[in-house]
This record gives sequence, structure tokens and C-alpha cells, in this order.
Amino acid sequence: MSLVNYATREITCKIVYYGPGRSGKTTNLQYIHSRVPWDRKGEMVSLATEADRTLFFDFLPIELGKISGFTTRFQLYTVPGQVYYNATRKLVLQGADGVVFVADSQKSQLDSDIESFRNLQQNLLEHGIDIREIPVVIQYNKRDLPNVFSIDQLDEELNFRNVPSYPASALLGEGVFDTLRSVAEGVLKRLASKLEMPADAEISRG
Amino acid sequence: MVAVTIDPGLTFKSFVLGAENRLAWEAARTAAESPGSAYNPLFIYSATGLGKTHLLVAVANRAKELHPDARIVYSPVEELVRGLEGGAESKYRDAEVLLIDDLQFLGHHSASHQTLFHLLDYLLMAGKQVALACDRPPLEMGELDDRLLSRFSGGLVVDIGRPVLETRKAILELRLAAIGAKLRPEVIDAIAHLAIENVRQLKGALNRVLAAQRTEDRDIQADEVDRLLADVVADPELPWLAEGEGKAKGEFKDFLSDVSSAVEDALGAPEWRELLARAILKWEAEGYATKRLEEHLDGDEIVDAEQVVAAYERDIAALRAIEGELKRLGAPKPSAISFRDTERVGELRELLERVRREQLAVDDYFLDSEKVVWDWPVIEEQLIEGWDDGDQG
Repeated sequence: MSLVNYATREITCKIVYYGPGRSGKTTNLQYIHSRVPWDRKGEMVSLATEADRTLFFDFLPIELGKISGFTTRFQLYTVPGQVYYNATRKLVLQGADGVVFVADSQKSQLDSDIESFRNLQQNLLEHGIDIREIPVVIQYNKRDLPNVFSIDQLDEELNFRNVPSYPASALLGEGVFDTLRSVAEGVLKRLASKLEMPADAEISRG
Repeated sequence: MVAVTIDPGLTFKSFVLGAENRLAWEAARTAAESPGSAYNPLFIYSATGLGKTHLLVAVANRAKELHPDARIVYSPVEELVRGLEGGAESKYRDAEVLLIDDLQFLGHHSASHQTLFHLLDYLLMAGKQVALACDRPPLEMGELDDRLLSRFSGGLVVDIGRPVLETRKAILELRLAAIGAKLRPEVIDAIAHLAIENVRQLKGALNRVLAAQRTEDRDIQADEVDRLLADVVADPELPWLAEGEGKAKGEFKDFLSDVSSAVEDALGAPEWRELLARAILKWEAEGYATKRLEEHLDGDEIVDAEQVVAAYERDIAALRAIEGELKRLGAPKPSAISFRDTERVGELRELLERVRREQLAVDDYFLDSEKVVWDWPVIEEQLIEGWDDGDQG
């Protein structure tokens, strides 16, 4: 849950990168890690199998520094995409403030994309969250590869909720920050609407 | 005796400990201090450059220190197999502690497997300590004789993980201390933050930065580290890892700027905070202390800002009235109390009362014709009436 702590003047946002196996979630985080100045980032923690697929999750903390007097932090997570790691996915999703769904644009991967997106909705529901209530951004990754669907076709298949979507080639770094920026702004906008609520709103009291 | 020359500097003390290697370090130390008593054989595996050989040699050095007469043999597996096939079996059979390195080079010759199996079987049965190092766990060693696999796995199989940030920093600091060199702390941080997980490469990176510092005869700065070590972190699949910092910084800076605006919007949204913020700006500009309002703005309680600001402004009105009254009475301006601090309203009211009393003490109105002291409120009323009539004496 996004945390605004007025006592310690801190804002912490958790963003989860979701999507099918090998769609490029970890690459997104690696690219972001490579762009963030060393004094602004924690170590990227990756728990991977021997074959280098994410076994548990990746975690990248980013310090954005003081904004309006608030120390602002983003915590980026990925989930393991492989079907059999659903328990881990559900666990990582807990308390997420925003989700980036990283879809593989290749035609051969459409079924995996659709299944993973359904799985995301299901897992959010099991945490009591309607997917319409949380900022979600879709990234159509691997645009640099041949045999990919067009953005319109992918939107047709996946983006029936009309959430912001971005083409990307995470391996080349293209579209990675556009996606992150979009989900971050979505999370912060939602935060603003919560802060306008009365005293029992979700504001941490330190 | 130790059969091959080993580096006496590779000890348990000189091994930088972290959560990722502590178990392997503890197990190796136990093997060195109580050979054959536990973890036998000890099988250590990790990716290259993470300290397997260091731990094996540390076992040799420590065991030698504790048991000077014991026969301790350290050998890469290829040399050992050559020795066994060349008839030097006794050299290994007589060992109290046998340390076999680079087990991944064992090869697929069943004859070698069989020879090694018999040697290990003999030593383990005799209660001698065996420690092995490999770049993969036993189960991933390919087509191994089942009996040999069972021997490898029969004691303790432990891995060494990639060094985490803190360990990398500690490695760099230890290395600098060992060679008597110095770098700015932020430069050490910057090197440690690079995606270099192989300890040998990390030391190589450190050497390069030190060389640059010596060549250029000046302190290297943290923001130069990426440029100096670009090719060390290069990955053909992830070309941006080695890109200069210019593009990297620009991209992050743009992102930060956009997110900052979004945070400002988010935090600026609640009306009650805006009301407080506006009041602070207004009264600060007029020179009034606004600490009281700031405490509400910074606090974690949502407050009725209208009420808070109204109370504050009532106090400001009181401050202004008291200031005017004191001036009118010709009282000297108090040096210790500010007329711009609403927290001082109480003190200033008392001061006004005091000034009024002092002025009345020398006034004819103080006593009536019968020399009876009037009540202060009565005197005040008279004074006020007098002022209203324009008769201020």
C-alpha cells in the first residue's frame, strides 16, 4: 500500500512488473537500474534459477530524493512469469500500488499474454482488489523482433480496459522509462485522490 | 607437509564475509580445525571468481598452523588425476587433509572417475578430511559415476553466492588497505554499485581506477567511475550497461522531474493543507512567526484549517492592538518580546497591564478624596471615558 508518512515525511510506492515468463520484466528493471545514479539506488536483488529465469522475484529500490519535503521511494518488483509460480506471484502482488503488465508482442506468445493477464486479474481479486481500482499500464515489449502483432491488434486482445499502453524494446532500453513514468504518475494521482478523503483516509500515522 | 606451494595470504581472516558465503566459510573453518570430524567431504561450489580456491587454501593454511606435522595436500583435479595415473597414489593416500580444486575439469573418462572414487573411499573410510571445489553442484556435473556422485554429496554441499553490495564494498576496502592505496569513499561506493559480481573482476576494476588516479595525478571522482570501467561491465546482450553516464543521467533526470511534479500535485491536493500553506505565506510575508501553523501543516493529523487559521489571526489582531496601545501610552518598546509572535500574546497582555498600573500609580485619580484605593476596573473605565472625551491629560 502506498505510504505517505507525514511524521517522517516519506512516500513509498510499490510497483510490480507482471507478465508471462520471458516477456522482459527483469530486463526492464535491469535497464532502470543502469540509468539510476549509484547514490539513488539500492542493490538490485534477483533470485534466479540456474537457467537465469526469475525464480522468486527481482527487487529494485530507487530513492527519488526529497520532493516537496518528502523523501520519496519507489520499490520495483517483478514476479516469476512461469505458470507454476503462482503462489509467489500472488505474494509479490500483495500491497502493490501499481502494476506494469509486460506483454510479449510476438505472435507466438499471445496465448501466454492473455493467460497471464487473466492470472493478474484473478490474483488481484484474491487480494480484494478490482483491477479497475489500481493503476495498470501495459507494455508491449520486444517490438524489435519480427513476427510481432501490431499495437492495435494487441490492444484489441489485451487492453479491453483501455489502460495506458506503451511499445517497448526493453533489451534496447526503448519505452522502459515511458512505462515507468506512466505507472508512477498513475500511482501518485491515486494517492492525491486518497489524500482528499477525510480523516479516516489511508494515511499512515507514523 | 603441504605438497604444493600455496599462497599463505589466503586465510580465513582475509576472506571477506557476507551472508552469501558465511555458511561455506564456517564449514571450511570447521574442516580445517577439526579435520574429518564433520562435513566430510565438504563440497563447495560457486560461479568463478567468488572465493572457492581462497577457502580451500585457507583450509590448508589453518590446518597447517594447527597441525604442523600433518600431511596436507592441495591439488587441482587435473594434476591429481595425472598423479594417480602416474603411480603417485601414495602422495594422496597419505594425506590427512586432501583439498581438490576445479573439480569441473575432471572430464568424462570412467578410468579417472574410478581412480578418484577409490581414493576418496579410502580417505573417507580412514577419517581423513576431504574438501572439494567446483563451479557447479554435484548433480549438474554431467555423466558421473553414481558411486562418485554419492561420495561427493555424502558430506556437506554448500555454495558461495554472488557478493552483495556490502560485501563488494568490504572487498574493495580490504584490498585498498592491503596495498596501502586510497580512494574517496564515494568512489569506492560507485565501484561497488557496478554490476561486477566476480571478485577477481572487482579487484581488476579497482586496479584500473587506481591506475587512472596515479596516471592523472589527481583524485578520481565518483562520476568518472562509469566511464573508466565501461568495458568491465559490458554485456553483449545488454549494451546500455556500458553506456556513458550522460544518457543515463538525462533519462533519469527527465523521469525524476516528471515524478516530482506528480508528487507535488499529489501532496498539494488537500484543501486544508492549501489553506494552511496560504496563511503561512501571507503572514510570513508580513513578518509574523508562523511556526504554529507550520506544525499543523507538517503534522500527521488532519486539522480544521479554517478554525486554526481563524484562531491564529485573532491572536495577530490582539498583537496589533496591544502594540498600538503600548505606543499610545508612550511605553518603551520591549526588547525581549516580539510583536510578531502570536505565542507571546499572553506576555504582551501582562506587559500592557503593568504599564497601565505604573502610569496610574502617579496619577491623581489613583486615590479618591477619602484616600480609598479604587478598583482597577473602575480606574480603567474612567481612563477610557477620558480618552473617549479627548481628555488624555
